[in-house]
Amino acid sequence: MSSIDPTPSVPTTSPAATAVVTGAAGWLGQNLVRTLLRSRDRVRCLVASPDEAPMLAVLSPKVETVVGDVRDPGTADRLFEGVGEAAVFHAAAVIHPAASTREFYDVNVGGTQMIVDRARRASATRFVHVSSNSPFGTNPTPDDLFTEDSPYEPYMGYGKSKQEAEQIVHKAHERGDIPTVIVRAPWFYGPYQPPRQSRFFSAIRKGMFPIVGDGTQKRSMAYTDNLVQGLLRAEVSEKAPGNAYWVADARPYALSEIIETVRLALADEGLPAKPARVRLPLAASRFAERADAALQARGKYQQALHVFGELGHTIACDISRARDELGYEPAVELREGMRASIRWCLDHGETL
Amino acid sequence: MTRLDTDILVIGSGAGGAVSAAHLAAAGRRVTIVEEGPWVGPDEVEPFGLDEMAIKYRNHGLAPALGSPTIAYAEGRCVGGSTEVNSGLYHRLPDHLADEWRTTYAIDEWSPEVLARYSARIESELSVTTVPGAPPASSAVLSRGASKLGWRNVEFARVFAYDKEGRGTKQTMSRTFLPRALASGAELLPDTRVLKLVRDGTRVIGAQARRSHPGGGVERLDISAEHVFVCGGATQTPALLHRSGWRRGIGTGLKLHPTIKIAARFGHPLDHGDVPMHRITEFSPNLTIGGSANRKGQVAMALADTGVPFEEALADWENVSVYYAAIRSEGSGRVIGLPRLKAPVVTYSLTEGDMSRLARGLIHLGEALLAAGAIELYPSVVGGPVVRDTSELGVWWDRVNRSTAGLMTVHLTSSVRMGEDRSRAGADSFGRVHGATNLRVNDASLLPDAPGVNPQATIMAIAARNVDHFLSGA
Amino acid sequence: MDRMGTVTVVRCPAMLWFEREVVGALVTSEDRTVRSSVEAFVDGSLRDMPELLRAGVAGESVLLGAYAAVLRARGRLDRDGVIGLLDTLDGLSLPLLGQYPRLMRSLVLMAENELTTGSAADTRRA
Repeated sequence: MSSIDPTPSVPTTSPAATAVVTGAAGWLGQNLVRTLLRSRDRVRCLVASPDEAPMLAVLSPKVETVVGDVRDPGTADRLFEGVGEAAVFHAAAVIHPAASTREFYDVNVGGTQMIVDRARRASATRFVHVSSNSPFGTNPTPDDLFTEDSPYEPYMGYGKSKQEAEQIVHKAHERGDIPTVIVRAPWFYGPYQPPRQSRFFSAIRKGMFPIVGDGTQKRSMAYTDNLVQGLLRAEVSEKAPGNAYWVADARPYALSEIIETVRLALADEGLPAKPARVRLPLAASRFAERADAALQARGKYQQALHVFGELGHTIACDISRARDELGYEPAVELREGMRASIRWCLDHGETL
Repeated sequence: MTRLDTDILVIGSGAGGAVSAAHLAAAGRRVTIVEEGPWVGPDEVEPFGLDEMAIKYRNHGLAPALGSPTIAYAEGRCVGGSTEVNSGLYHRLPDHLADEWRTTYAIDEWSPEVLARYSARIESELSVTTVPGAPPASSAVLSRGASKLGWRNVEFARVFAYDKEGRGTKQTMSRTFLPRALASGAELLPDTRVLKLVRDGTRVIGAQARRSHPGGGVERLDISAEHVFVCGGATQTPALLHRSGWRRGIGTGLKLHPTIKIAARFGHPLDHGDVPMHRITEFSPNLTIGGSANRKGQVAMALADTGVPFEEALADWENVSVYYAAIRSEGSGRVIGLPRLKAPVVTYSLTEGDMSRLARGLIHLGEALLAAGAIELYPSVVGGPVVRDTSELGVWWDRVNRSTAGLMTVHLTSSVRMGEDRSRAGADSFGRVHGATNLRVNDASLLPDAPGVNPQATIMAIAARNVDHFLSGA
Repeated sequence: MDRMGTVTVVRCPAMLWFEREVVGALVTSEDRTVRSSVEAFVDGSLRDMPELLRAGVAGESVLLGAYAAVLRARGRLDRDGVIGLLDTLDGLSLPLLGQYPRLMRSLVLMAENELTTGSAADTRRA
């Protein structure tokens, strides 16, 4: 199903023998590390806590783990020590802070700055930065798509922090410090997901995941293997340095389609699911969004409120440039990808 | 009560007021400058010493911008204003900010080219230069530390003139534009505080002021003027306008450069006379790293700010110098002039993004100082900890918060923004107060945002530009 | 009215009793000239403060002064007692009350250290 290594159709350089990955124990990170291990001599992984190291170390002797805080200069030094010429994949970020919106800035801006700085000193071959749709806000209509020329319109604290991170990464390229590529990933899905995703599946099984408004608002999503492919292409494509690319599934999906497709995927995997029976008016989502903004203005964060506020919007992107310049070709689409996620959950003992 | 008639009343003799007065007087206009503070001879007090704080600063150099945390700020109050007490560092407004301000704040006839023209004119009348020969050790610390880390750093120029022996004199307003203004016929009244502007509908017709005499008397002045330029600085200007009945867009949107510090102890003595002129620009424009005044008094205060025992470091004070990280802030504040109070209430609200940026600045500053050979770092964060190695710096991320961070600033701007967007500006593109016909602001209050560099160059260029606009009869 | 050289400084109300106690406790020098100069500087700073800040500080000084007066009546207000009181305040995370010790300490530190700078190295200029 995954097609990470077909012959790329664009001019490329060789991938580095060593890869440095931040956020290695995260949802995206785990997918990325596993793929990298197939082709690299060494994959050096930054994980936040000691108990995250063994699950990566066990994958291969090629894995080296460094435990520490991505914001910490000492950790950044250790991460790059003796690493030689390496490609850096920077995926460490805070999407849903535990306590305060301060975490957005500390990790997404502060951590990015620290890693960019050390990558420069280590003469990294390329710095691939995992970014988000959040710096661009929401689309004005369900058929509108973000392109690489869309202006910054950050959505809340996460958006602002990811915008500033992009600016740091881009500046490093502009000043000739390191070749950098920004990969903008929307809502992603796939194996190695955190517990909150299981709740998503459970809610859909019970028919309780809300259709907000009329459900025609569209969301771009990215299956993890597609996203990983995009990141790896960004590392080797000759045209990529200095640019940003939207990487997602072939097309955006309407919210009602997402819920229905997951329902079908659950059924495919032997888990019958009730039809969606919760409909919430758009106004409720807009109210949640205003409450989210008010809370964040005071430094506080409520994940459910934030997600609910976002659900009322179209957040969709155009992947043409990634296709043209990276040779990116998404191989998996929603139903197949959701089936793979569900199977992974079941294989890992989750009840949905 | 004394009556005084003039054509143009300029209130305040700092960077904005002195430049305004000099250019107006040179064009043949009759100008009266009133200055709240005293005239102090150029070498009467030592820079950054106790007497200077008592005499040339407002509030003895200590006023609070209330908030969480409160930010301590200082302003000059004397003939020549803050230029008499500042470091003299001079940096033109970065072009990208000039462009950004034009579009964001709808400023007419404004571009990097226009500003460059006026900056060049100002620079031809001052002496703007870097230090001849090697910069002092306290400044070289920054370039050395930055270079070791591969960080961009630069020596800022200063408004200093050097004689043949290499002795430098800071080109303050009292040495440059004020004498020019006087030579062109302007009159200057020190120790004269304007209590209120006198208003007649949308016109200002004069001002009521109080002049203090050395002998001890106080004289009431009733000044009438055809035009008024208010140049009291970002807190006094809006306060005066409030007291005089102008409120719309006045005193909101205050910006400053929140600054966090480290007293760094080295294994060798450093100089303590001048403020370092090197800046680490690696993280500009949002974050700048530089050095502060570091006389024994400042060193003692900086060491104490960590809130841990520091007697040993203080005994070693000649080996200690004070450095800072200053940020451009997302947050903003207010200046409120209250009727019977001399001092306005100043507030400032920092965002979580600002707090994070300050923490980041502190850590990068720590990295640079350790790279330069510092052996101990005392941050202005209550509880510290004192850091001696890069591996210990990460702890500071969580230590910098609203309860512990000791912040200050010496740059305040934007409380009467310029621009055609009345929802964001209190004055128009040329400093004319919205809703008034002959009342202008021409000081730091006009800058739409804090520029991330020392603002005096920008203030002077804008002041000269706005005077040209006034003189053209527009 | 005061003259400092050729410059005049306008004065307002005086230092409060507790503020004098605090300065007295914080100054480390035994030298009488230094002690009185530090007090004069703190006095000047307090008088010159923005009115609302001065009012707040004065209010705290009155409150603390009342408590300190009780301690003194019980013979328990020596130099260490005053410093202990400041340390206790320091430990409180109250927004403005917690700033009082820091403010007073800063003023005394600045003044005392400036007045006792003996070294020739410090005034070398570029």
